[in-house]
Amino acid sequence: MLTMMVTAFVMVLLGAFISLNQGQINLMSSSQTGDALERASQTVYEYCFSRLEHNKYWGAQPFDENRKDLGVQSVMVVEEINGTTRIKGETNLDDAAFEVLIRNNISGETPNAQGVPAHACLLDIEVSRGGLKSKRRIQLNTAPLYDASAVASDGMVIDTDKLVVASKDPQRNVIRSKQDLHLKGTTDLEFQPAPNSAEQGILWSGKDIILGNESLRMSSDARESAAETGGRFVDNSRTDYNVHDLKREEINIAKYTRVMGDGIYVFGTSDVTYSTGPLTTTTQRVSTLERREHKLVDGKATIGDVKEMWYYGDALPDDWVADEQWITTDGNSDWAFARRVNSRHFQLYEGDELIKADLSASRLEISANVDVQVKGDFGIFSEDPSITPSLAFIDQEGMGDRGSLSSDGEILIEGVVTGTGNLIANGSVSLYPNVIDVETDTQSDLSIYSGKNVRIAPPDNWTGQGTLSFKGLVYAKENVELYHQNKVRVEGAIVAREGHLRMTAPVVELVYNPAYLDTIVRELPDAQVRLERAVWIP
Amino acid sequence: MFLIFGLLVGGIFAIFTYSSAGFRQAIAQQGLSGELEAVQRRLTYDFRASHYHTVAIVPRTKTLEDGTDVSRTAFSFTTLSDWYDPDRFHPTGQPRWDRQLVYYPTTQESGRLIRQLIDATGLNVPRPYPALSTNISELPNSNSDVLQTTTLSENVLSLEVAQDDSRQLLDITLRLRTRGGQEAGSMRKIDETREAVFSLDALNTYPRL
Repeated sequence: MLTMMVTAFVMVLLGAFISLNQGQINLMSSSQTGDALERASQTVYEYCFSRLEHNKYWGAQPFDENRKDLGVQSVMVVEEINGTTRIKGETNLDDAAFEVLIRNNISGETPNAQGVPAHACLLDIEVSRGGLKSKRRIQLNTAPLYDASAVASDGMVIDTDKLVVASKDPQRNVIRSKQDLHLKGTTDLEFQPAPNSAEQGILWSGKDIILGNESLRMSSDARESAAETGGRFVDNSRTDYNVHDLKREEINIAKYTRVMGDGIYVFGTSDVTYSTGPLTTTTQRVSTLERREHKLVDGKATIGDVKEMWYYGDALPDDWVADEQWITTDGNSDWAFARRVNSRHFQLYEGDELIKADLSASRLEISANVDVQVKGDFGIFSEDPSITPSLAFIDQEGMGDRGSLSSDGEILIEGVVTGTGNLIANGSVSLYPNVIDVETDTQSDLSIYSGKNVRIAPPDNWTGQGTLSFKGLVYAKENVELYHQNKVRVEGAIVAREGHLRMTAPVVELVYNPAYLDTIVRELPDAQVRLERAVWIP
Repeated sequence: MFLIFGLLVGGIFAIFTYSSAGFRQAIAQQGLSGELEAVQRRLTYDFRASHYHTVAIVPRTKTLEDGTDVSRTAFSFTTLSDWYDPDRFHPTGQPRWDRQLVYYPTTQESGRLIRQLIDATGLNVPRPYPALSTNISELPNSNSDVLQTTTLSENVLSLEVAQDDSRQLLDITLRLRTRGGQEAGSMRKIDETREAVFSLDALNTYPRL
């Protein structure tokens, strides 16, 4: 009797408990199913993301058979559906069924008929479990190689009165430093976003942002100054930011290659003395291009003896020498292998149109569709202050590839670089432009890859004015340093992957332009692509 | 016999009384937990479809009857009127933001957590709601441009909201409280309080920093 009463009482209590908590129990059950759908949806999304990053053509065309992906069977069962761009399957952990519609326009240059933007892919993910369904639409975009106009891993110091942070991309106007970002002496910070941008711009730092001598974190005055710019200042960020480690093999070079001798190429003049009779001699001044021995250490050159020489002398008698001979030159040279050329504008190697020199303009010319390889250091120089030597990438019509100069050692150019091309070096790249513009042709661009440091500065004691204007991707494995007496303008991106970025000029303009980034880097191999999530539709 | 029976009935009655109070307490606790979870899920769902850089925050405090100051922060972020209307997207695929979602607790002793959908047609780009500070009335229906109002809770003790720019997350601390419950086994009146601390990620933040 007692047992029955107690049992009945317990049953009543239990029933009351269940009844009263029915809502809570239902909520818990629903929450668990919701969580499972969420996990399954995420799993499916990550699977699709991975497949697309490894094969950008995946799902671009209807699948030609029903094919199961056995590589992921421990996690999920996935099957491509024949004649469609859909996949279906089940996740093992949550026992959820799913189906995904892939609308892949990653390789497209324009929006496709399904309304998918260029270089994007839409995923419609539907997951179901226990009568509940979850839908997602996710847009993946091709990710830029570098997403900021200036990127440095080991700190950034910009010593300038006026800094302009601008962008041609309405989505991005950022400079990033993984360590301190120090704007030294900057009294005028201006953001110039692209039209239709959502915000002015961003300074991002993994450590402190220092305006003048005041840390944004410590000084309310600095924070007020920052707020007045309208930009955002993200300091001590804890988001992971990986600076892509650009390999030399990733650089897009022309299909034709030529080999040039290493050394410093010096434009100038030489006095040549020759016999005009039994007892008489005459001296003529000839224009020369000399290939000199050298010692080049991180942009500092010591010029040595002449190893090879091209010369043009219209006053010299035709029968003065044979076409090729050893001659003496003035200055510090001994004997050099010399080639007399018939024109001031000549082929450096006879019969080869792809590399030329112009003694009138003191210019070395590289054709647009050739990669000129130097097995050692390469430099262009002039010992005569009145001569401004230059390296020109000649962009001839019909030549699709960019010209490039690739060195196993360092590259040093004390002069001008013009045209559309790449400077690629395992060692440092040092440019000492001694006229107004590094890049005078606004239609062209120049990219630099250095396995060590990039240094761009006018020559010592140079007093010229104007703008140090530069377009392209400037990439250094270590440090980048730019100096100028007046103004530095870089359009594209500057990357100091492991080192610091230092810029010194009264005015500095950093303009992010993604169009210049892709030109130096070849497409990833085996149809791989870098993607990022752009839109997430619930 | 009667004594034993009386003791038995008395014991059962005591157990019943204790259990009943315990149930009430448990129900109150679980109800509060459920309410907290429901709010958290709603917030997570809403914010996930938004853009981190559209968050606007208006910090507010309320002094309770016992003199304690608690936070009753209001905040908002953008959303879209129709996620499956192609006209609501830029050619790049980015949403043409046209709604603001406002969350705020009222400032009564037990605050009501209000969720309001605000018409922001023409906004297009991801921008914080400029009128947030002036459109969070104690009478939610008197707010401007309101398209929909929901009361998510009537038991808000405090709501703290902070933007973590370094991680691009929105940190929320929400405390709910029910008042005047009875402690099991005593006649003492107690308040039940539940707190949730969570971070929200806006998946339409693009580009991410």
